[in-house]
Amino acid sequence: MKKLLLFTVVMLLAAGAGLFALDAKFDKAYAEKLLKTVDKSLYPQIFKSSLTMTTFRNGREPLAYKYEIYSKGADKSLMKIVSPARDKGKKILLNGDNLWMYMPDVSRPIRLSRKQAFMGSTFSNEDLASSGWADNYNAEITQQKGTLILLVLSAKNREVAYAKIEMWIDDNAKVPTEAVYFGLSGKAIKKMEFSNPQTIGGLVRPLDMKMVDLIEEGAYTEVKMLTMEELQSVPEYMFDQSQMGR
Amino acid sequence: MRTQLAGIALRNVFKNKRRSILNMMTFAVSVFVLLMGLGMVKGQFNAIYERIIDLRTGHLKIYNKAYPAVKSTLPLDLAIDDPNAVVLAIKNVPHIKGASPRLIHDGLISNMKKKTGVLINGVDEAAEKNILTVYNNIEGSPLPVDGGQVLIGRALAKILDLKPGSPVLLFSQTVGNMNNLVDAGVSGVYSIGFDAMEKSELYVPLAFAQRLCDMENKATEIIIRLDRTNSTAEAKTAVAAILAAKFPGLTVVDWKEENADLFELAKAKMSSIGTFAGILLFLSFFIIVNTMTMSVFERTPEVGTLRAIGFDRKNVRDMFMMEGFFLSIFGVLLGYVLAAPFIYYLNVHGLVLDVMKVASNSNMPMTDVLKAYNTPSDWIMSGLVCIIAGVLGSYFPAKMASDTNIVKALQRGVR
Amino acid sequence: MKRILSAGVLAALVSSAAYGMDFNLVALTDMTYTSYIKNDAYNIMAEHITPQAAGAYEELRLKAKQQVEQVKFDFVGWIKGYPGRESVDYAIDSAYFSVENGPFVLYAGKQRIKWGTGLFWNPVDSLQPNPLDIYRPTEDLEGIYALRAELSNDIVTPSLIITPKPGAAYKGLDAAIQLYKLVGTCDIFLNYIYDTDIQNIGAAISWDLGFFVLNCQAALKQVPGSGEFKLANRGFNSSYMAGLTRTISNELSVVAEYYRNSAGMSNNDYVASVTSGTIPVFLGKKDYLAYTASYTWNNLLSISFTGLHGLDDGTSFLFPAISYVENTGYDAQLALLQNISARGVKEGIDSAPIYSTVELRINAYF
Repeated sequence: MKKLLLFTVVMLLAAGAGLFALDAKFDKAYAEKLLKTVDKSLYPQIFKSSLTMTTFRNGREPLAYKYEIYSKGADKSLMKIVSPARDKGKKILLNGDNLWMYMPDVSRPIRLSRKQAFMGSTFSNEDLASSGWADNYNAEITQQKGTLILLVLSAKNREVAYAKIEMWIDDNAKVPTEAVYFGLSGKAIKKMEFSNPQTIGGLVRPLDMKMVDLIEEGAYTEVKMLTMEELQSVPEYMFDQSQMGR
Repeated sequence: MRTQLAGIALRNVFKNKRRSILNMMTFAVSVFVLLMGLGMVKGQFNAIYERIIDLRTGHLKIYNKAYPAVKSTLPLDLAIDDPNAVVLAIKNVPHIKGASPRLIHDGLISNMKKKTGVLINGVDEAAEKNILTVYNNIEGSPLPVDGGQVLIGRALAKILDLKPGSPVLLFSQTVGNMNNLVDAGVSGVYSIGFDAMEKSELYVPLAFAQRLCDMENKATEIIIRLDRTNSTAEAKTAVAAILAAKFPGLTVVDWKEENADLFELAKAKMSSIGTFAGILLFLSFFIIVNTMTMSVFERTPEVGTLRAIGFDRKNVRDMFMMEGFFLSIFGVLLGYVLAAPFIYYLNVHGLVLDVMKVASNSNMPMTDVLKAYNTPSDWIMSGLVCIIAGVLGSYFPAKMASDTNIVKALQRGVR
Repeated sequence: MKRILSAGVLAALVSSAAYGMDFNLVALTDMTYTSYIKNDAYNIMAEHITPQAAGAYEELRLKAKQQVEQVKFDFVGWIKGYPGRESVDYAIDSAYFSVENGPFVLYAGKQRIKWGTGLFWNPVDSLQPNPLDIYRPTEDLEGIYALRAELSNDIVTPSLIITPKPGAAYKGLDAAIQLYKLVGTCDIFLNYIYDTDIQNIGAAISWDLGFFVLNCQAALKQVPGSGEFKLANRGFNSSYMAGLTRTISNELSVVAEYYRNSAGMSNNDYVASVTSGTIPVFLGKKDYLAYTASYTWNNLLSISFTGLHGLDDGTSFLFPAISYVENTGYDAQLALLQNISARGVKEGIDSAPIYSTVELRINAYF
C-alpha cells in the first residue's frame, strides 16, 4: 500500500514536471535566437505597408485613419492618409530632423517644426518604431503550452523602456501572439495582442496588433496591417520634399 | 499766431458740445480702464507672490547646480545625493524655520478608468507642515513616512471621483527612463482654493517616490522656509556659504528666481492688459478720427475762409491737431476725476473675495482680499498715452483739412 | 444646361468608379450675406453688376486619379450652381498626366504649380494666373497648361517648366526653372521665370529653427513697357516676404507674414499715376501684414482668426471663422469678414467696397 502511494506520488510529480517541463532545445541560445527572429519580423528595416489605425477611448468616437507608409531605417518615413475622404491625399514626410506636411489643396509641402511636431509621436513611438529588443534585453524561455512558448525578456540595464516583457510566441511560426510590458515595480503597464500572422518577405509577421493601455479603462489602439512588404530599398526621391506632390 | 490758433481750436471744442463730450468721454473711459487694469493686475501679483511662497516654493530651494537651467523638464539625473546631510548642515542657519528634501517628477494617476497627468511630489509631510500651508486643510489622514499613499487635491478628487481610501495607480518614469507603474491608495484630500494646483499636484511619501523613480536616498530639491520673507537675502548668503564649503555641487535659489516663470506670467498678464488698452485706444483713435473728419467736412467753408484770409496749410493742420489735443486733455482730466474714488477704495480697502468660490478657477492662487496697487507713474502714463492717441487721431483729418482746395471750399460755402 | 452638366458629372463618377479610378467628391453649399460701403469703388462696381446682399451657391468638386504603372492621370474640376439661375459655372482646375521613371517625372497638362514658401504671399511665384484668395490661402486654384520635368537627386532637384502663353498669339512660350536643395533643416529654392510680360528671379527658404519655422522670399521682377501704353511701374521691381510659423501644440498654430511689394501701389501712387495720365499695371498694394491663428478643440471645433492689414493706407480686414466637424463625412464653417479700415481712408482700386460678409458653408465628403 505504501509502495503504491509512493508510486502514485512519484507518477504525479513526474506528470506534473512533464506538464511544465520545457523541451531540452529551449535553452538560452534558442531564446536569444528566437528574439532576434521576432525583431526581424516586427521591425523590418525598409518596408512599405498600408495599415489602419483606430484609437478607442471611453466616451469618444473611435478615430480611424488608413495610412500608406514607406519607411527606411528609423529616420525616413513617408506617410499618406488614404481615408477618411476629408483628409485623403494628405502626406507627412519625415526625413531626419525635417518634417513636412503636404495637403493636396495647397499643392505644395508646408514645413512644420519637428520639435513641436504633433505627428512626430506617431513615428517616434517606441512600440512601433523601435529597432528591436535583442540589443537591450536578455531572453529566457520559462513556459511552454503546446506550440506556444513564453519568452521572458529582462532588461540588461535600467535605461530601457520596460523592465520586463513577457512575450508568448508561437514556436512554429516564430511570431508573437501576445506581449505584456512591465514597469520597474513589476506591474503590467501595457498589453499588445498580435494576430493574423502572414508570410511576408520570407518571414511570418503578425498583421494585426491591438495595444491596450492598462492604465485607462477602455483605451486601446488597433493597428491592422493591410499589406506589408519588406523592400530591398526605397528610392531616395520618396523622401524628397519637392516630390511630395507625386 | 500759435496762441491765436490755440484760441480758435479751443473755441471749436466748446462750439459743438455734444460731439466734444462724446470725444472726451471716450478718453475718460480709456484712462479709467487703464488705471483700474494696471492697479488690479499689480495688486493681484503682489498677493500672489506671498501665496505662492506659502503653497509651493518656500523662500529658498537647494538644487543640484545643473538643475535650475533645465528645471522645466524635471530631470531626475541632476539630483541631490544624501539630502539629509544637507538639511542637517543648514538647519541652524539663522532665520530658517524648516528645511526638507523632496523628489519631484511628472507622471500619471489613474482610477483604473481614467488617467490624468500630474506632478508627483515626494515629500516628508511631517517636516513640510512647518514649511508650506498645503497640508493645513486635509480631509482624511496625513501621509505616512513610507508606503503607497497619496495626498491629492480637491479638484483632482472630483475629476477622478476619488476619496480617502480609494485605490489608484501611479505611473512615472525612473531616472533611467524606464516606465514604472505602482498601486497606491488615497490617504487624504487637500483643499487650497486653487484649482490649477489642486488638479495637477499630488504628494506621496518621499521614500515611496524614491522607489517609484529608482532614486534611493536621493532628492531633486530641498525646500526651505524662513521666519519672514525679508530675511531671504541674508539667509540665502549663509546657505550659499555652507554649500560652497561642504557641497560644491549644489546651489541655492530664492523665491524670486524660483518664480521667474510667474514673473513672466505677470508680464504676460500685463501685456494682455496692454492689448486691451491698445484696443481701447484704437477705438478712441477711430472715434476721434471719425468725429474730427466730420468736423472737417462741416467746416469746409470755414477752412476755405481761413485759407483765403492768409492761413497757410500748416496753420490749418495745427489748428485741428490742437483741437484734438485739447479734447484729449479734457477727457483725461475727466477720467482722473471719475477714477479717483474707485482707485482710492481699491488701493486702501480692496475687494473681499470668497477664495474657495471665486478664485479656484483662476490659473493663479489668490488671497482673500484683493487690493489694487497704483503708483503715480500709472496716472501719468495712462494720461499721456490717451493724449498721444488723441493728437495722432486728429492728424489725418487735420491733414485732410489742410489739403482743402480754397476755391472749392468757398464755392461750397456760398452754395 | 444645369441638368446636362450634373448628368455629366454623374456619368463621370459612375464611369470612373467602373474603371477603377480613385475618385473623391466634395459637395458644398455656401451662403453669404454682404453689406457694402457705398463709396466710389462701389459706384464703379454698380455700373457693371448689381451688387447682391445675399448670395448662395452649390458646388460639386470632383477629384479623380487613375494610375496605370508609371503613368498617372489627375483631375480636379468643379461645377457651381446658383439659385434662380439656369446656367452653371464650371472649371477644370487641373487635368494632367504624369509619367514617372524612378527619380524622373514628367507632368503634362493643366496643373497647379505653386512656388514659394509663404502661406499668404509668394513673390517668387508669378506663374499663377489668378491671385489666391487671401482668406482661404489653402484652397484650390485653377492650374496652368504646362510641361514640367523634375529629377530628384542628392545634389539639387531641378524643376523645368514650359508653358504656352494663354491668349497671346504673338508670343510663344514662357519658361521657368526652380532648383531645390535641402541643407540641414532648411529648404532652399532658387526660382526663375522667363515670361514676356513679367520676368521674375527669386529665392525662397523655409527653415526649421526649432522654436519656429522661418519662411523668407525675395524676388526681382521686370515689367517691360509694351509700346502703346505708358506704364507707371514698368522696369525692375523687387518684392520680398518674411514669415514665421509656429505650432504651439497639437491644437494651436500661428502664422504671421509681412509682404513688401515695390511694384504695388499705395493709394497715393495710384491717384498720382492716374492724374499723370499713365496706366498703372496693377500689382497689388505696397505693404501688407497678415496673420492667422487657429485652435482645434477635441477634433470637433476649430477656430481661426485671420487679419489682413494694408500698412500704407490703413485698410484692415479681420476674418474670424469657426469650423465644426460633425464627422469625417461632414463639416460646416461659419465665417465673418469685417472691414475695419479707418473711416476716411480713400479706397484703393482693389479695395472691395465691402463692409462685412457673413458666410456659412457646409461641406460633404464622399
